[in-house]
Amino acid sequence: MMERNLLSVTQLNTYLKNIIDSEMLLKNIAVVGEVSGYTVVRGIAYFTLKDENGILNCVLFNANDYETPKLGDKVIITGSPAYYMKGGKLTFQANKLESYGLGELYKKFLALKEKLEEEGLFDAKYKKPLPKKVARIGVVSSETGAVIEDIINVVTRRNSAIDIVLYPVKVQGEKAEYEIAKGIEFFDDYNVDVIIVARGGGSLEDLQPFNTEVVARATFNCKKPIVSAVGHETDFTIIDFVSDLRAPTPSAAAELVVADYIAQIDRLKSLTNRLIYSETQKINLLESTLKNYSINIYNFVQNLLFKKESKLDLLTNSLGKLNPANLLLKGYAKLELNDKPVNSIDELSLNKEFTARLKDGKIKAIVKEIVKK
Amino acid sequence: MSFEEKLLALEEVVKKLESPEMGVDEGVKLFDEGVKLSKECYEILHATKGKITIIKKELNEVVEKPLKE
Repeated sequence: MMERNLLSVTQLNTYLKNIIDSEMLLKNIAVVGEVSGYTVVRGIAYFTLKDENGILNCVLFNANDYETPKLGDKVIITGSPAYYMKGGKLTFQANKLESYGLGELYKKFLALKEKLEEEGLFDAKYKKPLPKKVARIGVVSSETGAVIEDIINVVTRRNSAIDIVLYPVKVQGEKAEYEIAKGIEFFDDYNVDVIIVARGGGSLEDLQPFNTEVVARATFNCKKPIVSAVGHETDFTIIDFVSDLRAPTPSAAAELVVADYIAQIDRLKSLTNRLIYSETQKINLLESTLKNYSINIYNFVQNLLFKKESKLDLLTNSLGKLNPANLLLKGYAKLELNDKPVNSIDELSLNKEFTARLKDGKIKAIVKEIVKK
Repeated sequence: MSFEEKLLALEEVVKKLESPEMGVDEGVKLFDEGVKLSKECYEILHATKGKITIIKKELNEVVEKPLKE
């Protein structure tokens, strides 16, 4: 017998399974095809996906999350293929099922949008402006999750005096739209100044309650201004068209509602800064003026003193020159009569005794002759 | 005076202080007034903290309760 390499079924199956399991290109892929043989057993759907050339066996694990597709519906499933050794079969394990092209929900959305638009529910003339003074905000949203947290954070970030009242509702799933509509109606007659209707991001199915006529009508009929913030920035829901203002996110909705309040706080800050600045500036100016003044005064006084001093010097100098003692040094004599200087010959007469003062002493003398000039 | 009125008054004070004709004595007086107004405004902001509540239905009656107990 010729020697051949023989594989057991298990060996080959294991080999095939390993190849498929290790192929990264096959992980989490989306496949499109037409559905047939869709049956659900204990929450798991078994079906085949076909196109003109072949079929693919599929399972969908969370089948209860999806509406049952009809025979021949074109769908997109997302997941990875797996090889079952026991059955010797390749099966695509899907975790997501979407309809291909316009889904039923989307068609419904468009139809409702068109209907309400025709009725005028989206008209700009019905849009109410947001109140300038907001003391209380009513929020229609889920009690749990990031949405209410985000809104609280934005509003309280600035030591806000604004109250937040939450009307807790289911934001997805069955009958959620009735709770949301009821929340809006409740706040319409309650002590709040403005209403925020908010929900975080999600699939079209998740956002469905906000795409319902009951929520649209409650929003339209509400006498108080409503800000809607549903889904991500790119999601538009029916309530966004009816509400008085659409915010891209719940945080943005809160920002819009408290904008005036925040503006006032900013004004206070800026005014306080200006107050302090104007005063410091004034004080600085005053200080430098005073400094200048004192420098001027100092200079002035210095100058004055200098002038006086030089004048004094001059005077002292002249004084020195004028000192009669200096004249005596030059050989002049000073005549005195009874200790008073003699300035004229008229003060003297013949044989009158007088004193002549010289640099080194005095002499007594008698007038011998008077010659008048 | 309400917060808004105080804010308006503060604005007036600052405008006067910023005018070049403002004298020193009057300026000092106004500055004191402005500091007082600003302080009071900040006090109002810090004193009043908004309540965060949730609507609950109890025995067919709607009540407002603190959101976080």
